[in-house]
Amino acid sequence: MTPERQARVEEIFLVALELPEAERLAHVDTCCAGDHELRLEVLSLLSHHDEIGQPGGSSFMDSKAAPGLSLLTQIGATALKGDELLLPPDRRLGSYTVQGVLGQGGMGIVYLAEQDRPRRTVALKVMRRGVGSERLVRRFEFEAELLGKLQHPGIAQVYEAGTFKDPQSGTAHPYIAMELVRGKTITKHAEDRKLATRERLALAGQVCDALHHAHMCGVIHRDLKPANILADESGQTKILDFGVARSTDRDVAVTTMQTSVGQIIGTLPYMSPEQIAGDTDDIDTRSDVYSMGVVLYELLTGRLPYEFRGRSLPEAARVISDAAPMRLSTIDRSLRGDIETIVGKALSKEKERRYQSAAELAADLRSYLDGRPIAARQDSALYVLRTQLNRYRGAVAAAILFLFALVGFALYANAQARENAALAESESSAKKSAQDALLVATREKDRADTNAADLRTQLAYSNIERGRLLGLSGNLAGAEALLWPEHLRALNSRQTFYALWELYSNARCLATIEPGTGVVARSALSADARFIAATGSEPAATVWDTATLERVAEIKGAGGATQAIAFHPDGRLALGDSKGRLWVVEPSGARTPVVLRPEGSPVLEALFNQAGDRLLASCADGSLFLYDSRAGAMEAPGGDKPLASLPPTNAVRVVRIRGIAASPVERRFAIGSGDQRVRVVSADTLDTIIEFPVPDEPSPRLDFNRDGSILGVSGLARVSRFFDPSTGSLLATLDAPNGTVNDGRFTPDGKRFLNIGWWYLQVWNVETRRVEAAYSLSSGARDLYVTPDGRTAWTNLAMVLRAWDLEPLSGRSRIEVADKARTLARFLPDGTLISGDQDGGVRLLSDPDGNVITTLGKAPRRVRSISLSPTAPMAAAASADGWLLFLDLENRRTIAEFPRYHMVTNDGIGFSPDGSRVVLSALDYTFKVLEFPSGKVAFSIPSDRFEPLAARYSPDGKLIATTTRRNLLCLYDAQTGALVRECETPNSSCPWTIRFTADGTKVLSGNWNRAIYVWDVATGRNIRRLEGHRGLVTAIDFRPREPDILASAAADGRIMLWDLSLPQNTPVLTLDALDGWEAWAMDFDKAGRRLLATNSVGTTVIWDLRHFNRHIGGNMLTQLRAHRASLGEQLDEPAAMEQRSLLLSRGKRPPPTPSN
Amino acid sequence: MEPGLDPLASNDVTVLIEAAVAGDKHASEQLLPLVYEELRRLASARMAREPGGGAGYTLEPTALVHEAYMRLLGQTSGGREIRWQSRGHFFGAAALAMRRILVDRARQKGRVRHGGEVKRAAIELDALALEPEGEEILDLDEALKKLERSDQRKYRVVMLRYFAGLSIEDTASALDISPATVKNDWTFARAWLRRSIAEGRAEGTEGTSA
Repeated sequence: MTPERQARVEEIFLVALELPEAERLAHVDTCCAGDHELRLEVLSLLSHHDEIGQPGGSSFMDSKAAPGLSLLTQIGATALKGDELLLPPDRRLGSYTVQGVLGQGGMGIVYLAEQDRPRRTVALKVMRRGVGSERLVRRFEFEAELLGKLQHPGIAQVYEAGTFKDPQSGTAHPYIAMELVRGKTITKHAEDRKLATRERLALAGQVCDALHHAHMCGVIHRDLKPANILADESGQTKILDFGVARSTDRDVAVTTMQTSVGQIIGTLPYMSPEQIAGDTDDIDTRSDVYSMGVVLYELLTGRLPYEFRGRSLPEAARVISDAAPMRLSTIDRSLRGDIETIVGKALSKEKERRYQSAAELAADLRSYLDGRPIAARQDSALYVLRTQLNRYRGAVAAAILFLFALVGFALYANAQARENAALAESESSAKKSAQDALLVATREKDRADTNAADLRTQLAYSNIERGRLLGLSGNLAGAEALLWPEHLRALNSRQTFYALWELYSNARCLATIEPGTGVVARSALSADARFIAATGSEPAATVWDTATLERVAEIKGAGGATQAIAFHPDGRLALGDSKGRLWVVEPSGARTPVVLRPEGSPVLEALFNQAGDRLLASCADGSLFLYDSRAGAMEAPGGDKPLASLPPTNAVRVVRIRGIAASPVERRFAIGSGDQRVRVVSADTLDTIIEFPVPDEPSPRLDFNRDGSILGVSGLARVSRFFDPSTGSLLATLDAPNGTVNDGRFTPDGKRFLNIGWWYLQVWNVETRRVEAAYSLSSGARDLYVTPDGRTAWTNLAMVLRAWDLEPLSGRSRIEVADKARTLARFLPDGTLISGDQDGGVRLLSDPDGNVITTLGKAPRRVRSISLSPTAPMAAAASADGWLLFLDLENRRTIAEFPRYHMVTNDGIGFSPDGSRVVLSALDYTFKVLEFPSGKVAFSIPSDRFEPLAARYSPDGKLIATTTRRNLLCLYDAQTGALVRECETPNSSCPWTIRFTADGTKVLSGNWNRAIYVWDVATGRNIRRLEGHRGLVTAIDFRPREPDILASAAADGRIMLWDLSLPQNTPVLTLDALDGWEAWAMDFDKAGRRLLATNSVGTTVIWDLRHFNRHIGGNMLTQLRAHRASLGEQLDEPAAMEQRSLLLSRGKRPPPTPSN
Repeated sequence: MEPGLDPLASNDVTVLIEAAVAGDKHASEQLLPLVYEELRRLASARMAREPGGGAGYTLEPTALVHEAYMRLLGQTSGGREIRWQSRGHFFGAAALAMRRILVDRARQKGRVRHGGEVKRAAIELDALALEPEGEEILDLDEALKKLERSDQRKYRVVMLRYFAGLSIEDTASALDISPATVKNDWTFARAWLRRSIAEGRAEGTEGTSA
């Protein structure tokens, strides 16, 4: 390919990537205009762009990682530094001599060792982690004794267990001596010997026998996988590692914590859904049966039942809990039939459906081998159906809990267990002492109280972190249930506030209304979206104001349960109930209700057309009634008589009308009926205009798009379909993988189609027919309404009504200049922005659109750093090639230029607090202190021959802090330049950027090793290490007016907030919104209300830090009610209500009240 | 002076880099073995601390490269500046050295190509935070050879970003091109490499008949 042609390919490829996926093909076609080869080349490259998670896709160089995984990595990484233990050869350990290392895992190191008596070679497994308490040691020994009783040819024999004290650290390490098994893993054995399917099945049967023996002895393996099942030369299989080091279930979590992420992933595919769910009580012998099923699957096909490559951990967990395994027969046709059934049964999600013992599995394997009928065949179709219906999200929620258990709670659980024990002890001793001396008792009680308070604090942290994890995994209800009680308990806590903020920025629930009247059958949104109404039995309906979320009306009924509800454009409400009563009321009660039909067959559906002159209602007997609903028409004599009606259908086979929609342009209604048909009827006569079938859809829910050209049909068929209502032809089918679609609506502009079903609200692009956004709803949804401005969707979730923010970018704005020229930007106090650009320009930009107001100055190359004078409207800027500019912001001009300075970081210039000097990094490996604005050099501080990076004055102006490409942060006297103190960081953790706390007592550095260090200025001692970022920390800054809130930006493209008033060293809020590109600079506005960040490809993003306030406010009332009883005295309800009204009123635009 | 740091080595590197910047091809060639040696030494020093001779130890390539930089160039003689262009030379050599080390290690480990399931999370991001699986690095190595023949600049961008862990900004400085170009090259090259690897694998499994 010629270079010209290559360049052309590249150009088309890059432009295509900028386009929405739907437009790419068209673009490529246009550009390639008949050049078939060129077209193919570009398309093949596009197909390889970022194919993350696709089967067979390569995993390297993925530009994004899933949040759940990253969190795990972070925590896993810190947890890994346990007390490591390595013994040299010839080292004696009890009656063993170490001879070498056989291998090592997360839990321990396995040594080859020689036992003295009897003289034999053994595998000696020594736990990495020391065991602290006597109690745990005893427990461990008890377990080991149990394991010793397992004597079976198929199980590696445990000879002895004990503890060994490491002379260096003094900690006791448990060890187990066991039979040394020489062999290969069962899968490798089968592969190497090219065993036939029958031989493989026999091998699995052998393993099952051994497993069953262990189960009969009361031992569960819990970690069965090929790596733990070896086969020796003779073909004898041996199971290793039975319940090793699982002294208590809490320790399981801790031990698992100690394994690296890679090992978790290695084990994950073999874990049963209940293990994934982390419910230790729920794990029994049948969990091993499941794992055995996976091993069997792998043994037969060489593959795992689920594809995990490229998936994040939460995704993988979800797959195990939810997805059906790949069918054996699709991999190998010869495995269809009984083998497939056997493996399928072993792999059932529910324990009750699996083989109830390993022996049963073995029996079926042998039945098959002997040609006898297998037991697994007796599954009923009914059961399969139920399994389908039960594919609930609960399993996923539980799966996420498991993840939490891995990463979060384990730490707390362990600590709490000890504290609990301490607490119990102290309380009992207090009682004893009370008999002897009252004084001692009192003291002890105080101690117990303190312990209890500490426990409470720990539990709060645990709940908050768990809640955040659940939120990240999309479980809104679970996260709310954990976060809200903590927030309501401590309304002033920033920790819970940011956690909720983070939650609602991921799950954009704007508001929740809980009617408290039981299940809400149906709901309706008024045409102007000011009111939402829900049905009930008494009251017959309740109406809320969507702005204040206050109840504004309750409508009394006549004894039936309301089932149909519809708003007239003028605000009247039509209600139909189970006793067949159909009536129209004014929610305000201003007019007397008009009863159109006193009783009869229950009313199922009611709808006004958009003109408001027709009301159509359907009944359970299949009849249909059309009324004149113009203002006053119903009150007039005879107004309660239908204009037209359709009689009940055949009583033997009732065909009910399930969905009604009114055409927005023509005088027509569309009605969908249980006989899988849609009829378009006249809105004046009910005469059928066109009728067409909707195959497999017994419960069609209908909606027209804006111009009436598309009719959306959703329902039990598990799809939403688009039909042309004038011809009945099928235009499109939108798959709903989560099951039944309960409702589907077009947005008012007709560009998007929303549908809801089990747990999800999905937003489809009507043109491309792709899902643009998905919301996790926390339960199955029934009705769906979109506000006229298209910004909010209201859903009826049976027990609650919830509003969802449909704007994907709400809460942040972007300044994206066509040439992507910005390298960094800062807020100016007057509300404009100053930017440093690629071309060396320093410019003033308008906020928020980012239009260039003027160019203040120009350096030859890109600007790396801008610093604002703290006292005057002046600034200093420096470029990559060493140009320094002093700028006058008021008169918008350059005051001075100096060509000698050197800038690597965005923090390379610092003003003194009085604005009279600047310190910056210079080309000659010094930091220079210059008079401002003359530029005269006051003095230089040599950077000790390391490249200078950042420099900054302390708040009192007495110290200058600097960093170089070395693992030191240096503090100098700002008057003399004399070295005052050095703060040393670990190797390869070169500090990059510097900030002092407002009181000047501490200095912080963002580092190359992804951490943020906090130093005590007085001693140079490192006080804290904040961890969470996954790349070089490029910028840190304190939030104005909140001296404890620190923001950081890093090369991982994330912005994090930290609360230094808390003991925790993890972020309280994470913003993940720089498109994955590294953050280069970050700044707060003067009020600390907005946060700005630029990424390295020139995009500037501005967040409104209060944006999600109204989401929190909108959900507070419901949460307050939900937790009122359980929180009791801890709840300050008036304060909560005050916070709520503050939050709701503070939002940038009013809460979900759209206007026309 | 950091313990164990050979003062001559550090000097040599500085001198070589400056000669390379000045256009001395010979110096460029000499630089690579020096950097390679330093990286290999750092890697084995770490592995020695690991049990079992470090067979199962996972390298952190970009961290190693940075550490090598700090050791060899962080402290320069005579207060002479190290300009970005010079740093670019260093990182270029370091990336190449790192790639060789990874490829060698993958071969040593003798992992069977196309064998078994890869049970591993997607490795990290834009830089090599953790050593990739053997098969992956060998495939990538092949693909990189092709890329080097077809587009030198993109090849350098990938080397610096992936093996040396340089940011977009720093890669741009090192190669003296704009960050936007780096970003475009990086995006294009990743797709190109993935495709090349996918094609390579397809050939590997289906023989050369395709």
